[in-house]
Amino acid sequence: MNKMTWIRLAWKSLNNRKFSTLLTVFSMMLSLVLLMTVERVKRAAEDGFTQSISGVDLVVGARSGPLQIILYSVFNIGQATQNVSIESYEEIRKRPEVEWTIPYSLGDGHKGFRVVATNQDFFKFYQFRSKEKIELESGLIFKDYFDVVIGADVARKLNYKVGDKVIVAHGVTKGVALQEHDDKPFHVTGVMKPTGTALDRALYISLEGMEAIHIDWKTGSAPTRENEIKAEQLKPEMLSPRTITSFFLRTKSRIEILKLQRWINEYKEEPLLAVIPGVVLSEMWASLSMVEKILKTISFLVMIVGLFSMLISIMTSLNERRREMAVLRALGASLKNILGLILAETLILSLLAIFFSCVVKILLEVILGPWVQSNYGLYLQPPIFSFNEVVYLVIMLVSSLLISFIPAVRAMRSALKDGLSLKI
Amino acid sequence: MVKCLLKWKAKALKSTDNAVEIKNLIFSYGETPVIDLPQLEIKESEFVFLFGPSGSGKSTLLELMAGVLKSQAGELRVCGQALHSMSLSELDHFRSENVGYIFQSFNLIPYLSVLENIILPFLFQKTELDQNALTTLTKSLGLTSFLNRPVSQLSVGQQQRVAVARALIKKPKIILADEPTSALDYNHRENFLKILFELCRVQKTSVLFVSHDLSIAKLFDRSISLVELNKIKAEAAELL
Repeated sequence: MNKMTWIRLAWKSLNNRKFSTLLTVFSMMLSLVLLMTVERVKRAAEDGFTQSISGVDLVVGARSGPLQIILYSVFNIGQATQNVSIESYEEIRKRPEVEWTIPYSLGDGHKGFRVVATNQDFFKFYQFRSKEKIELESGLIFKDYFDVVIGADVARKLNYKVGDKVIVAHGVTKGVALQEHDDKPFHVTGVMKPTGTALDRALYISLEGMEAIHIDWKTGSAPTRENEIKAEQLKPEMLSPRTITSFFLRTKSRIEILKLQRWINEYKEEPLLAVIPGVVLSEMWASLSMVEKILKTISFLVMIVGLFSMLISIMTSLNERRREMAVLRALGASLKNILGLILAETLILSLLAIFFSCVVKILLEVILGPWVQSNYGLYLQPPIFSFNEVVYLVIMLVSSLLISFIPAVRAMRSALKDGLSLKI
Repeated sequence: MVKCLLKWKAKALKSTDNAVEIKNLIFSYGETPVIDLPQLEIKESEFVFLFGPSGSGKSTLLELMAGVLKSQAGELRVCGQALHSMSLSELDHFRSENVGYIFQSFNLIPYLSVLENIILPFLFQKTELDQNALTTLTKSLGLTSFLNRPVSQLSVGQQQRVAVARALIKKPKIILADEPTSALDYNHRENFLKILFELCRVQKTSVLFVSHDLSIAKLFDRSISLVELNKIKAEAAELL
């Protein structure tokens, strides 16, 4: 290596102070990772909120909290405490102002994924993102009682394809099931295209299928051998569902939403609750964005701390390096060169911090992404780096260079004062 | 650009046979006067020994000649260029083009290898490193086998030779040396100077060597006492 460059000299100098350089890069990196993580979570939450459901005017469930209804119906989180009787559902469905409904019957699961019982209207009417409909990657939608259509994530994680056997677990969506409906296995008839929403993480069966696997479960647990009703013995009239968990509803005209909502909420036969998803989601979002703002403020403060640790590290090194600066001056370095050397060091520090923060961010997403998805329903959709995140990286780079003018000018001044022999 | 060239030419035209020409040079640190030198001349290719006790202004004079410090009054010409009328950046340029500087001690950058220390001056100017010159220089200084070693692993004597190589690699017109032999014993000192002189003779480089150690004065073409020349004698007098 017969060529010397400024970056090489700065690199060697930093390498000479390895420990403090590592600490500085680490603290700068940490602040960037924190800032980008907050941004990523915010983005995932925002996407999830705005993209999971669209075109639905009301979500109706048994009377509980509005938030709860949205969480279990749209985001696959939590459980319903009560069901909706099929009579009430039918009465509401037949009202003149209703355009369509999608019934949902929840409660069972399969290997950590929720099993949703619904009807074919789900595939016809359910919309997500901006009016996108559900499409199948392969196969067909369910027709028979024991047909199941699986979400894209389910297919990918469990490596299922059309024709595979699925045994539904009773009463659980997570962990190991105590009881399974292994007497009535389902078969995959279709695999949905990825939607990037909670839809990908569920299995869809018909309401009749749901009824079929529970037909002999009179006491809420598996039947004894003599009470068992075999799949071959099932008749259509036995399988009309008696309850559902909730349903989505679309009105013919938006003007009727509030009137219908009030009507449902005052429904005499059964305590029901109709919520407007948009309203609940924006309330949830408002409370979350408050948290997001606090987190972001903290992250920016951490960024400032990171920048200060860089400033302190360079400032403290300057005194030890006065001799070095004098030597460089004697060899022909101008004051501007000294300034440039400090700036080059800062550039290396921030580029290292930026590089490692990106590596850590990507690793975190790869490692923690699935866990965040299954536990918090947050989907980390591409792109990996949003515009905001790139802006944070640029802010870090620019502000570190600006801040480094403080030690750089100081180094320049002391080099001018010191000359070639140090005067202490 | 043209103006700059003309200025440069004007300075170059004043060039004489002298490597250094000083007339009534005055320099002070703030209120403290350090140098008041009525006259001093050093000829091209001349090896001059400048001695004086500590505090007599030796290092300051070297820094003035190197263009690191700027004089307040009088004339200072080094290698035919009028340093007294140059701006700071012109002085930086002058230094990187014309001056080789050898320090008293700890004069190498500790985290660079021997080779990196030697070629460091090329970082500050546009000229390219002459590989043949590098090979010849390191060979004659016996540094060939150490080139890739960290300087911290070298003996004091070897470090001094690296410093000489670094000062001479750009073929400067003048070498300014600030007590570089103070850490060496007599034999090593003589040896060091022999090598330095040999190389400087080949390159026709003048040497201004500053020290308080009179035992090596006889090895030079001429010896000058700074105490006798410098009108500011306050600190020197205190020491005496």
